[in-house]
Formats: sequence, C-alpha cells, structure tokens
Amino acid sequence: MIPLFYFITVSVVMLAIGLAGIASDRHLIVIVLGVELILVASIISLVGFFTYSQPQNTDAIAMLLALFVVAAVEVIAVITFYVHMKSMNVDFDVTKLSRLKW
Amino acid sequence: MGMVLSEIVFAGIAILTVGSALMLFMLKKLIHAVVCITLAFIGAALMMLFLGQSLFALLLMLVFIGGISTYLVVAVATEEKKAVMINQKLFIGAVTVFTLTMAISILPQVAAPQTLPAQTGMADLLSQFIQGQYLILYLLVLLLFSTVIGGILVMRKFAKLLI
Repeated sequence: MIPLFYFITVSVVMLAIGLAGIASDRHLIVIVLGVELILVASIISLVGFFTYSQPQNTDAIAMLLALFVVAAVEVIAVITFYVHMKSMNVDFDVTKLSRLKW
Repeated sequence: MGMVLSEIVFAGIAILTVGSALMLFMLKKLIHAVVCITLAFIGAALMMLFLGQSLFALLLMLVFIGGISTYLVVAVATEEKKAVMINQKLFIGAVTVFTLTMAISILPQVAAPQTLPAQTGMADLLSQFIQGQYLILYLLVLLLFSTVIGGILVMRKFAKLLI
C-alpha cells in the first residue's frame, strides 16, 4: 500500500514545475502546457485525498469531473485561438501583451 | 516483498511523471514538449490505477491522451518557431524555490500514516487490471496513444508535401 504522502509529494513537485515553467517561459503553448500540468497535479492530489479520506463522498467526484472539463476546454479554447491568430500572421510573444498592465 | 515491489514501481512512475514534466520546459521544440506532457498524463493515469480509481484513470487517458494530446500534436506539428525560455537557470531556481516552499507548508500536514482498506498489494492490482471490465477500453487507450505517435511520424513525413 502506497502512503498518501507519496502522491501528495509528486503532486506538489508537479505543481512547482508548472508554476516555474509559467513564470520562466514566453511561448503561449508552453504556458498553456504549464497550466495543464498544474491541473493534472491538482487532479492527482484530489483523487489521493478522495480515495484515502472519503471514498463515498460524491461531491469530490463532481469536482473531479469539473476539473477534467476545465482542463480540456481551456486547452482547446487557447489552442484554437492561437491557430486562428497565427493564420492572421499575428506575432505571439506574450511578453509584448502589455496592454492590460496596471 | 509485495510492498517493496509496489513502492519500486511507484517510484518508477513518479520519476516518469516528474521527469517528463521537467523536460517539458527544458526541451526546445514544441512537438517534444507535447510528447513530454503526454508522458506526464500517462504517469498521472498510472497513479490513479495505484489509488484503485480505474474509472478516473480511464477518463484521464481518454480525455487527456486521446483528446488533448492529439489536438496539441495537430496544432503544433506545423509550428516551426522554437520555445523561448527566458533563462534556464531561472527555471531551475524557480522549481527549487516553489518545491521547497510548498513542501514545507503542505507536506507535514499529510505526513501522518494513512490507511487504505480497499487496496491490497501490487499483484491484486495487476489482476484487477487484467481481469477488469475496462480491459477493452484500456486497449483502446493504447491504440489512441499509438495514434498520437503515428500522427507525429506521418506529419513529419508529409508536412512538406501538404505545404
């Protein structure tokens, strides 16, 4: 039997890698992949806590399905937007997107 | 013995998952990053199997590997521009700082031993996997993953003809 601690450790390391990747990369697709990594890390920790603490709790299942949907929709929306903008020859360096700065 | 074996297998899966997550940001080409995140998804799905949640593992494989990875491969295959990392040392430093910060704040709270009555050793887990009702679907997932790899190979070969 694998302790819950191991799963949470892997989840924490993946979360840290995703955060660091988002902070240090400029390409839009790589940033989206970093967000995906964070969502997968959250899925691992959520399933771990759900399995070890309250397997009968249906709220956790609903939250997990919502996480799956969010992860899938986020990637598909951003990549579609990216491909559309590339077809219009728009340069996509995210560090140049400074209009929303305050 | 079974405990040690399952821990070794878990360590291998954890190294696969974390290693491919790291390589996602270290490799230059975007298509390699997509393959790395696909491997990270596979590692996460195998962890779900370790937790005894076959349905979530299957869902993760079908949605993430079958859907998202294939879509990413198609979107990225024609992309020539390489990923531009600001600084690789900055990335390593950020990973270290974030990991230490979260490890110090989160991990001591889950360090207490937990029990999982429903799950047994690795042999039982494997027999459940082989005899389970999801076997055909797992084969379908393997087929989908080979489709991702095959799609990459075909696109690499025929991309110039299409353009």
